[in-house]
Amino acid sequence: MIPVSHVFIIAGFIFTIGMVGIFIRRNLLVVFMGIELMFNAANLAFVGAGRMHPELSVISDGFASVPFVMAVAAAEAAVGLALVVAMYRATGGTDTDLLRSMKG
Amino acid sequence: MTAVFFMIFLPFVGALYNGFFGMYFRKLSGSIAATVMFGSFISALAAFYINSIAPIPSFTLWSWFPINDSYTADIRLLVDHLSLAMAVMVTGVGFLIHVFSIGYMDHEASPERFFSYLNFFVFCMLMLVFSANLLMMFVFWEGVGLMSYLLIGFWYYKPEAAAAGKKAFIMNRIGDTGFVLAILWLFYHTQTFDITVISQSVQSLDPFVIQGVTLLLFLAVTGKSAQIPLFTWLPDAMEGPTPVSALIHAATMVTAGIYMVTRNHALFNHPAAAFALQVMLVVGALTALVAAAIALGQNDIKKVLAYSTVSQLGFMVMALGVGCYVQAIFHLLTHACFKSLLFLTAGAVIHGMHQEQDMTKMGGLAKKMPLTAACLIAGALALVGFPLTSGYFSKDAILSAVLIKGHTFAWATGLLAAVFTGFYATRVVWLTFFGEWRSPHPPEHVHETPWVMLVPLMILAVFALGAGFIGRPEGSGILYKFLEEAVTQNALAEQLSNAQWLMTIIPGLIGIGLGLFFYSRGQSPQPMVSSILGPIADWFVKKLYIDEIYAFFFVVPTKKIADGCSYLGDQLLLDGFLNSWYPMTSLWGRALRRLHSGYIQASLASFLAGAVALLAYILVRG
Amino acid sequence: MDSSLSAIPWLSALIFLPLVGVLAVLLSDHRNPRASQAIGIVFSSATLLLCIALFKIFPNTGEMALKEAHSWIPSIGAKYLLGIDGISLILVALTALLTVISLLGSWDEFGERSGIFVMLMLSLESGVIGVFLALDLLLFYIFWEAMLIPMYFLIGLFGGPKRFYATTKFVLFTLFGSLLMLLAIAALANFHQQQFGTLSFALADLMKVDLSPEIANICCFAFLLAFAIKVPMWPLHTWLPDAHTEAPTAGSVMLAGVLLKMGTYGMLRFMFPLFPIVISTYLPWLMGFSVVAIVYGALTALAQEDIKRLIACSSVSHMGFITLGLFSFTAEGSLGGTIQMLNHGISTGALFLMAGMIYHRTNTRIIKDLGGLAKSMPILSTIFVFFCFSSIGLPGLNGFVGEFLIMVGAFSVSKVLTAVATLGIVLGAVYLLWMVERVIFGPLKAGGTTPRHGVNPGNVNANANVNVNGHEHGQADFSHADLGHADHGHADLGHADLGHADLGHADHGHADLGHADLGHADLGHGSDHYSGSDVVTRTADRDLNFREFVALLPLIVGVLYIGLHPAPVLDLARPPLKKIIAEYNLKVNQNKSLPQPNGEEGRK
Repeated sequence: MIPVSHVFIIAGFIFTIGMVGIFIRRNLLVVFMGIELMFNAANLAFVGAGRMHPELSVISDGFASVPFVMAVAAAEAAVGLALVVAMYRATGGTDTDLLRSMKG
Repeated sequence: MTAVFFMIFLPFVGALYNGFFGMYFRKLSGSIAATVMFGSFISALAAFYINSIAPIPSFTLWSWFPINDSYTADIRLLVDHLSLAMAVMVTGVGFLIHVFSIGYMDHEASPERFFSYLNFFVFCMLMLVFSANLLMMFVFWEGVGLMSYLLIGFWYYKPEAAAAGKKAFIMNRIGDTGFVLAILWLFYHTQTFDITVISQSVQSLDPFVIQGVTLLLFLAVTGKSAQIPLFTWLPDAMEGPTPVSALIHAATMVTAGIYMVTRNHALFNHPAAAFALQVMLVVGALTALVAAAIALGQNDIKKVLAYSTVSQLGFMVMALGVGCYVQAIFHLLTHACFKSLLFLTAGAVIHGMHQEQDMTKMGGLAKKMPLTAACLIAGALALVGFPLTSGYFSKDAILSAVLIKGHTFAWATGLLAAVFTGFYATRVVWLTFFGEWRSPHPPEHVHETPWVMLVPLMILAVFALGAGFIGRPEGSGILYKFLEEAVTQNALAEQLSNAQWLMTIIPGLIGIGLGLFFYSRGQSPQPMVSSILGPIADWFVKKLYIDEIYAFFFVVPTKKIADGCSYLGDQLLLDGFLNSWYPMTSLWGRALRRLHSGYIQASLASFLAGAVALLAYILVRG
Repeated sequence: MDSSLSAIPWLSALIFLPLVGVLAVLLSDHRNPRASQAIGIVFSSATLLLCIALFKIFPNTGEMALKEAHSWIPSIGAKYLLGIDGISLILVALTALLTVISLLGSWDEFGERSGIFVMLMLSLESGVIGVFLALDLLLFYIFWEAMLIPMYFLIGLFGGPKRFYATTKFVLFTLFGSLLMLLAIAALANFHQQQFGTLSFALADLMKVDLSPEIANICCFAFLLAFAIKVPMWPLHTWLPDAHTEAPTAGSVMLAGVLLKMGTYGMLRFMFPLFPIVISTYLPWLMGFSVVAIVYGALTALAQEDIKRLIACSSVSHMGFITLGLFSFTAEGSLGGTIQMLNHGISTGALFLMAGMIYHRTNTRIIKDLGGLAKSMPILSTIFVFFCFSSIGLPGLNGFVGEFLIMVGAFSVSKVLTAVATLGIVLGAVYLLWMVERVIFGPLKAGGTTPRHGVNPGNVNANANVNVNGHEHGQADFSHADLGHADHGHADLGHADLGHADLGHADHGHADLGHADLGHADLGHGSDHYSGSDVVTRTADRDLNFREFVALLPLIVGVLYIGLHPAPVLDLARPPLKKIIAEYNLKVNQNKSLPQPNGEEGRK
C-alpha cells in the first residue's frame, strides 16, 4: 500500500512544476499548461486527502471535489484558449509581455 | 364695503386687462385704464360718503399667511378716516394723471404695458393705504416699489432708465430691511402684526423695543420717502415717463413713508420714541435744506422738481418729528395736488418741446402755451407757499408747529429751505416760460398742450390753489376734525405771535424776489449765480457729489469685497486648500504606479508572495 | 384611509416607476430621440400623477404614512422601510415636477443621445425619490449614493467644457461626506446590537440607542458633514458653482431644485432625531455659518459674469436661509426652511431653465455679451424677471413666504444674526437686478438678437459634446452614440455635426455652414473668434415657444400659488415638523434635567 504522504509529495512536485512554468515561460499556451498542471496537482491532493479520511462521509468530500475541479479546468481551458486566439488576433503573438495595458 | 372693494379692485382688473389683452386694442388701453380709475375714484367718494353715514367696518379679503398655530396674517382692510382721506387723494390724483397720460403716451409703441403698470400701482397703493396689519402693509410697500421699478425702467432700452430703476429698488430694499426687522421685533413681543392691536399694546412694550422699532421704521421711511441718506434714487427715478414721476414719485408712493408713520403713530407717541422723533426732525430738516439747495443747481426741469419733492418730503418728516401727524398729512395732501400739477405741467412742456428737458434750452414758452404756463405758475406758487395757496397753509402749519414745539434750529433750517424753494421755483417758471428762446431748434414746432392733458392740469391747479382751506383754522379745521378719529396727537399748546407768523411766510417771498431779481434781466442765469456763490454753486450742480460719495464708500467696496469673496475666498482659499491635496495624492499615485509594471508574471509573483505570507502567518500563529 | 388603498405599495411605485421608464427606453430604440424623450415624459408624468394622487389619499397627521416594511438583508438586519409624511411629500412632488419640466425643457437638446439622457434623468428621479422616502438608514444611504451615479454622468456626458473637473469635484465632495456618514450609520447599528441584541438600521430603532456623548458627537458630526456638503453650507460650497455651471440645463435644474434639498431633508429627518442633544449644542454655530453663507453667497454671486454661475452662487445664499431656518429650530423657522426648500426648487429651477433658454438663443451666458433681451424676446424676458423677483423674495410671490417665516423663527433666537441675514436680502436684490439690468434691459447687443453663429443652439450643445467626445477617449465608452462618433475620429467635425443636425433638428433645416462654424467655435476658440461671422438665421430671436411655455407654466403657477395662498402647503409641512420638534425638545429637556451643563435650550 502506498502511503498517503507519497501522494502529497507527488502532488506537490507537480504543483511546483506548473507554478514554475507559469513564472518562467512567456508563451501564453505554456502558461496555460502550467495552470492545468496545478489543477491536476490539486486534484491529486484531493484524492489523497479523501483516502486519508474515508470515515468522513459515504463518498468522501475529497473524491467529490475532483469532478468539479475537472469540469472547471475544462471550462477554463476552453475560455482560456479562446482568449489566446483573440489575443493572437489582436496583438499578433502569444507572448505574455505583449499584454501590458495594465501598466500603471 | 362694496365701495371700498370696487375702489381697490377696479384698477386691479384694469391692470389685468391691459396686461393680457391690451396689446390687441392699443388705442383703447389708455381710455380703459382712465375709465377704471374714474370708477375707482367714484367708489372712493362713495365709500367716503357711506362711511360718514355709517362707519365701514374692517374686513378680511382672504386669509393669507399662517405664521404659527396662534396667528394668521390676513389680507385685511382697515377702513378709517385716515385711509379714506388717502384713498380719495390717491384715486383722484391717480385718475387725473391717467387722463393726462392718455395724451402724454399717445406716441408710445406699447401704451398698454404702461397703463397696466400704472393701474397695478394704484391697486398696490390702495392696498397699502388700507392695510390693517404691518405684514400686509409691507407686502404692498414692496408692491409699489416693484411698480416703481418697472415704471422707472419703462423705457428699458435706455441704460439710464434701467439703472435708475435698479437703484430705486435697491435703495428701497435697504430701507425695507428696517421695516422687516421692525415687524419681526414687534411680532416677537406682541405675536401679532395687527396695527390696531399693536397700537393698543404699546404701553406694555419694553421702551427699548419701542425705541428700536421706531428707528427701524424710520429707516424704512428714509428709503421710501427719499430722506437722507437714501434719497438719491428719487432724482434718478426721473428717467421714467413724466406721469409716473407725478403719480408715484411725487403724489403717492413716496408719501407712503409719511402715511406709515402716521398709521403707526401710537408707537411714535410713546415717550420711548423720543429719540426716533428727534432723529426724524433733524433728518427731515436737513433733507429739506439739502435737497432744496441741490435743486438750485439743476438744469433738468424734472430733476429740479424731484429734488423739490425730496425737500417737501423733508418738511413732512419734520412735522412727524414733532409729533404733528395731521400737519404732515395735510402737507402730504396739498403737496400731492401741487407737485403732481408741477410734474404734469413739466410733462406737458416736455411733450410740447418733443422730449427736451433742459431748461436752459427753453424760454419764452408762455407765448406758445399760455394755459400750461398758468398752471405751472399756480403750482409753483403753491410750492413756494405764496399766501393763501394750499402750500402756504400746510407749510405754515408745519413750520409753526416746529417752532411752537421749541425746535428753533429746525425751524430756521426750514425757513432757509423755504427761501431756496422760492428761488428755484421762480427759476423754473422763468427759464421755462419767460425770457428769450434759447433752444438751437426753431420754436415753431412747439404747441399748446392738447385738451386731454390740459383739463387734468386745470383741475389740479384749482386744488393746488384752493385746497388749503381743509387745514384752516390751525388745529381745528376740517382735516383736523376729520382725522381726529384715526390719529391721536397732542394739540399744540399755543399760537404763534404775529411776528413769528410773519417769519414763516416771508422766506418764500424772499426767494421769489431773489429769483425775479436774477432772472428778469433776461440773461442766461447760471453764470450769475455761479459768480456769486463761486465754487459752491458747482457743488450744487454736481448734487453735492453724494452719488460719488456713495459709490466710493459703498458701491465700489461692495464690488471689491464681492470680487474678493469670489476670487480670493472661493477660488484661492477654499479651492486652493482642496487642490493642495492634489500634489500629495498624485505623489502617492506616481510612487505606487511603479508596482504596476503590467507584466502578468509580475502580478502573479506578487499574488504568490501574498499567498505565501498568508500561509506563513497561519502556520506561525497556528 | 380606505384599506384597499393602503394595500397598494404607493411608495415603491413612486420609486420604481421611473426605473420602469428606464427599462422602456432601453427596450425601445434609444437612439431615436423623439421616442425616448416621449417615453421619459410619459413615465415622469405618470410619477407626477401618482404624487398628485398621494396628495388625495395621504393622511397628514405628522406620523409616517403609507408605510412599507419588508425584510431586505436579514443577516444584517437591514430592512426595506418606506414611509411618507408632509415634508417628504412636498419634496417628492417637487422632484417629480422638476423631472417632467426638465425633460420637457431639454426636448431637442441632445439629438441621438437623448435616450441616454432620459435614462439618466429617470434613474436620478428614482434615486432622489428613494432618498426622500427611505426610513432605513442603510436604504437611505444606498439611494443617497445611487443618485450620485446618474448625476455624475449627466454632468460628465452632457456638460460644458470643464465638465470633468466639475463632475469629479462634485462626486468627490459628496463621497467624502457620505462615506463618513456610512461609518456613523454602521456605528449606530453596532451600538443598537450592543444594547438591544440585534442589528438594525431602521430610523425608529436607532433613535432609541443611547450613545455616550463622545460617540454621539462624532457620529453627529459625520452626518452633519455629509448633509452640509450636500446643502452646501459655507465653507463647503465650492463644488456647487462649478457643477452648476458645467451641468446641462436639466442637470442644473435637478441639482439646484432637488439634490441640494437632500441635505436639508437629511438634517430634518435623520440628524435632528438621532442626535438631538449634540445638535442642540451646535445650533448657534450652525446659525452663524448659515448667515455667513447668506452674505458670502450673495457677495460671490455679485462678482459672477456667467448667468448660470450667478444663479448657482445665489443658491448658496438661499440655502443659507433654509439652514438658518432649520437651525433656529423653532416652529416658524423650520416651517419656513421647509417651505423655502420647495420655493428655492421652483424659483431657482426656473431660473436655470431660463438661463438655458437664453443660452439656446444667444449662444452665450456671459452677462456682458448679453443685453436688451426684453426687446427681442419680451415674453421670455417678462417671465425671467418674474422668477428673479420670486427669487429676490418679493412679497406676494413664493420666496417671501419662506424667507419671512425663517426670519420670524431666527429672530426669536438671535436678533443680531437675523439683522445680518437681512443684508442678504438687500444683496439678493442687488445681484439679481443688476443681472436683469444688464441682460434683459438696456440696448440690444449683438448677443441678443443676432448671435454670431445664429443657429438654433439646440445644435450647439449636441455639437459641442460630439466634438469634444471625439477628442477625449475616456468618455467614449459611456454610450453607443459616443462610440459611434469616436469611430469617426476628430478629423471630420463637419460630418459629425451634420449627423446631429439631421437627426435632431430636421425641422429647422439650418445652413450647414452654421454647424461647421459652431463646431469649431465650441471646440476651443471661444465664441469671440467668430464675432465677425455673418451667419445669421431667423431662429435666433424667437421668443418662447409653446413647449417651453408649457414647461414654465407649472412653475409660474406654483410661484403665485405659494405666494398668495401658502396655507395648504404650510399645513402639509406643519404636523410632521411639530412631531420632530416635540421629540427633539423632549430629549433635550430630559437631558437638561440631568446634571449636564451642555444642553442648549430649544424653543417651542
